[in-house]
Amino acid sequence: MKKKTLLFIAASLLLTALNFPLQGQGVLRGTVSGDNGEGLPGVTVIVSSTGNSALSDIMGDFVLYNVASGETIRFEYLGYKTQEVVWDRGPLKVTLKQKNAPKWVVGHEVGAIRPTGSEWQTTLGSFVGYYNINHSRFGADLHISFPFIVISPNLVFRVADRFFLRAGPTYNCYDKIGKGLGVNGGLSLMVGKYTIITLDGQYYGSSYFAPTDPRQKCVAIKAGIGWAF
Amino acid sequence: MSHRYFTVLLALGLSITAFAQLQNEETRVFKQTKYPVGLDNYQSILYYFNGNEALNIRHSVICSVRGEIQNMKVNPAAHSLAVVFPNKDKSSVEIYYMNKRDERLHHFPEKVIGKAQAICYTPDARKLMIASGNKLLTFELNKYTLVQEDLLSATPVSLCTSRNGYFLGGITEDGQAVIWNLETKAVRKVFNTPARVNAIAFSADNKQFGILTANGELKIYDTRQFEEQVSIGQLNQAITFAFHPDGKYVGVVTNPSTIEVINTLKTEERDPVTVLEGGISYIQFVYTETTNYMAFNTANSLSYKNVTSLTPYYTRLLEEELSQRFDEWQQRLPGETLEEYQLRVNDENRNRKSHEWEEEISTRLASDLVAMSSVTLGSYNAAQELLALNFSTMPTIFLPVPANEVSDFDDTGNLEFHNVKYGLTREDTFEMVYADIYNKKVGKTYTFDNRERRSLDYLHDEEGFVPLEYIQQASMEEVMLKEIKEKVVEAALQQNVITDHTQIAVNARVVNDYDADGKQIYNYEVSYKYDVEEEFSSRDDFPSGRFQVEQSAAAMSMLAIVKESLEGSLNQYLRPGKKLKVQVTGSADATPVRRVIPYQGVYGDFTNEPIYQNGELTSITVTKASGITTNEQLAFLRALGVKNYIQNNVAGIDQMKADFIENVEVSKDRGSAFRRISVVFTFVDAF
Repeated sequence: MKKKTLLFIAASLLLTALNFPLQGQGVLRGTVSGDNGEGLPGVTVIVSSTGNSALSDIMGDFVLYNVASGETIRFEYLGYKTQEVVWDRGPLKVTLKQKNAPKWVVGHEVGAIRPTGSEWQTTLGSFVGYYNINHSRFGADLHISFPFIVISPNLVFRVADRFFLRAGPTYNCYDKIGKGLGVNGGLSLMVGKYTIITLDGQYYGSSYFAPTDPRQKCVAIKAGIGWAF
Repeated sequence: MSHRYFTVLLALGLSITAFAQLQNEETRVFKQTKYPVGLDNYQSILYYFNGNEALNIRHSVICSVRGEIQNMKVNPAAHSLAVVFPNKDKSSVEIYYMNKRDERLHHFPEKVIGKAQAICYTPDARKLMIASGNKLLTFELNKYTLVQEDLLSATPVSLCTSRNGYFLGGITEDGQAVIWNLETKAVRKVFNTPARVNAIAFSADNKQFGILTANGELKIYDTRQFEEQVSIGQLNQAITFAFHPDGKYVGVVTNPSTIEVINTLKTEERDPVTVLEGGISYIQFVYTETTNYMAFNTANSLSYKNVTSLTPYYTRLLEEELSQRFDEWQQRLPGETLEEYQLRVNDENRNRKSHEWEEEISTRLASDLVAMSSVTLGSYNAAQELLALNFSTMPTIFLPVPANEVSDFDDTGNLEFHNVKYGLTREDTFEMVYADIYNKKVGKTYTFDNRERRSLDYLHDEEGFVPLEYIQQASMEEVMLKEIKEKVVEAALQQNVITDHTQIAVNARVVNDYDADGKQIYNYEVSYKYDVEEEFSSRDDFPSGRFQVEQSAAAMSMLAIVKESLEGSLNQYLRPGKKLKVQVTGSADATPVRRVIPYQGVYGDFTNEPIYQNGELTSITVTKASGITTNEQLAFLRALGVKNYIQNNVAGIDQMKADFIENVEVSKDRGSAFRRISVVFTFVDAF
C-alpha cells in the first residue's frame, strides 16, 4: 500500500513537472503592416504549434498569450503572401507583401511633382508619360502609355491615358506607395488639388496628388512602355 | 483589463459631464480604390462591395461575381460572406470564403430563390434567410438545405435580427417597418411611420429597436411592448444609423458628409462629425481591446473615428453590478437555516440593500467628481433657508444654512466636501446626494442630505425583480442538488474514481427575463462545474490530448450528478415542448499540439461549425480527415462529449426544445488544470 502511494506521488510529481509552463513563455504583442507601412486589419495571426490565433485590429495590432520563445508565428491575409516568423521575445513587427504586387515599368524620369507646403508643384509644360502599372486578376496585360500635358500646377490634360491589350474589365492602377490612382482608360482631367475626373466619368482616387502623406516626398513621373503581372 | 472597464476609466478621466468633441478625435482612414457601396462587418473589420466585387478593408478582392452585387452579409461566425446579384429575371445568392479569393462555398439555385430582395443570417450563424417576394426561405448552412419556408405578412427589402433570436425586423417594399417573431414568423408589430423608413436596427443588448425615417426622425422603441421611448427629430436626410454598443448613444448619418452622435437620454446633446469627401452611407460602432470606434464609409475610404471619449452608460453599469450582488445575496449561506434565510432574504431587506448598493456603486463610478468641479455660490432662499451651491460637473445642490450664517459663505475656497455620496439621474449623469460640507472660515460643518429624494426605482419598475418565492424555491432545490452531489462524489471517492482533490460545484438561481411576446418570464438556471487541484488534475481529469468525457473521471462524476439531478429533483422542469438552453463549455490549456491527434469522428465531422469563443461567435472545423491540430479543436470536442452524453443519457431532454450552445475556452496557461468542462442548463419560463 505504501509502495503504491509513493508511486502515485512520484507519478503526480512527474506529471506536475511536465505540466509546468515552459520557460520563456510570454505575451506576444505585435503589429502587422502592409508594404506601404500602414497597419493591416483583420490579419489572422497563428501560433503554428498550437493553432491558437488572433485577428489584428484596425491598427494592425494583435496580442497572443502564452507563446513560447522560438515559436513560429504565421500571418495570413487575403491578397498578401503568407509569412512565417520565429518569435524571439519582445514586440513583433511584421510587414506582409502583396501577392501580385504591381511591377513598375521601365521608363525614364521626365518630370516631377513635388509637395510645396500645402500644394503640389508640377513641372509646367512637360510632356510626361503616365507611369503605368496594373494589378489584374486576369494575368499579364500590355500597357502603352501616352503623354499628358501639364497645363498649370493644378490642371493636367492627359492626351490619352493608355491603351490596353487585355482581356477582362477589371484593373486598378497604383502609385509607388500602393495607393489607388484610378481605373479605366480614356481622356482625363485633373481639377484642383484632390480630384481627377476621367472623361468616361470614372472617379479617380486623389491620394496621388494629396500632399498630406509624409511619405510622398516627391513623385517622379516617367515615360515609357510598361507591363505588369 | 476588460474593454468595458478600460472605457469607464478612460471616460472618467476624459469627460464626466462635457460632451465629447468627436470631430477632433483621431480617425484611421483606409483609402479605397472604389467607393464602398454596401458594407458589413465582423468585429471591428469592415467588408464592402462595389460593382461585381466584394472586397476587404485593404481592397483585396474576396470574390467577383457575374452581376452587380446588390446585397452582402458577413456570416456572424466570420468565415464566409453571402452576396446577392441579379441573374436575368431572378437572383443569384452565393457564399464565398472571406480569406480566399473567389473560393465559392455554395450557389443557391435561382429556381429555388426566385428574385431575392433581402438576406440575413440568424444570430447563431447556423442559418441564412433569403426573402423572395413575401416568401422567407431559411437554409441551414451545413448542407445548405432549405429547412423552412414561411409566408411573411409583407415583402421585405431589408432584414435584421435581434441577437437574442426573438425578432426579425424588416423594411417592407412600401417603406414601412415590421417586426416578426423570428421563430414563428408571426407579425409582432407593424409601425405606421409618417415617411418612408430608411433604416432599422436593434440595440446590442436587444432592449431597443430604432426606426429612422426619411422625414428626418429617429424613433427608439423598447422591445418588450414596442412602445416609443425616444424621438429624435431634425435629422436632415436621415440616411442610416447605428446604436452604440452601450445603448446610450446613436450615430445618425444626417447627410452624406455628416454623422451626428446623439445622446439618447439627452437628445439635445449632439456631436457632429463632418467628412469633407462625403459619400457616407453606412455606420457601425466597433471596438478593439482598448478603443471604441465609429466605422463608416466615405467616397474613397473606410474610416474609423475614435469615440472612446463618449461617456459610458453608467446606469447600465450600475444595473449589472446590482444584479450580480443580488445574485450572491440571494444564495443561501453555508449553515444557514431556512428560518434564518427567510429572515435575511425578504422584500424589506432587498429594498434596503438596493438603495444602499445603488448609492455605493454610483459613488464609486462618479469617482471624486466634486474635486474636478469648480464651485460657485448661488442664491439664498430665505423662506426655506437653503443656499444654492453650483458645480461645473453636476447639478446644483441646496444646502440648509440658517439665515444668520449665510454671510459666512462668502468664499467657496473655504468649503471642504467630506463623505460625499452620489446618485445617478434619469439622464445618466451624476448628482450629489449627500455631503458633509465644512466651512473653514467658521469651523462649522453643514450636512446636505438628499438621499431619500432620489432613487433608481424606475429601473426596478422596468426590469422587475424575481419574486422571492421563486428565489426561495431555487435555494431549497440547490440544497437538494448539493445533497445529490455529495452522494455521487462520495461514491466516486469510495470507488477511487476521483480523489478528494476534485471539487464539483452545483448552483441554481432564478433569472427574470421576457419572451418574444413581451411576457415576463422567470428562467431557472442550474450550473455544474468542477475544479481539480493542479497536481491531481492529470489523474482525475483529461490527460493531455484527450477529449472524450469517458477519459476524465471528474467529468464523468460531474455528468453523473447532472443525470441524477435532472432525472430526480429537477425533473419537474423537464416538460415536453418547453425551451431549454444548454451551454456546454469545453476548455483546453495552451500546451502546443506538436503532432496531429487522431480523431475518429466519434462526434461527427464539423466544417465551419459556429461556436462561441471568449463570448464571440466564431467557427471551427474538425473532421476525421483533418484530425486535431489545435487546442480550440480539443476544447470543442470536450464540449461535444458533454452534449453527446446529455443527449444520450438524460431522460426527458429529447422531449424538450433543447438548444445546445458550444462554448470554447483556451487558457492562456499550460497545465492539466485547464482541461475541463462545465455545463449550464437554463429552463426557459420555468415557473
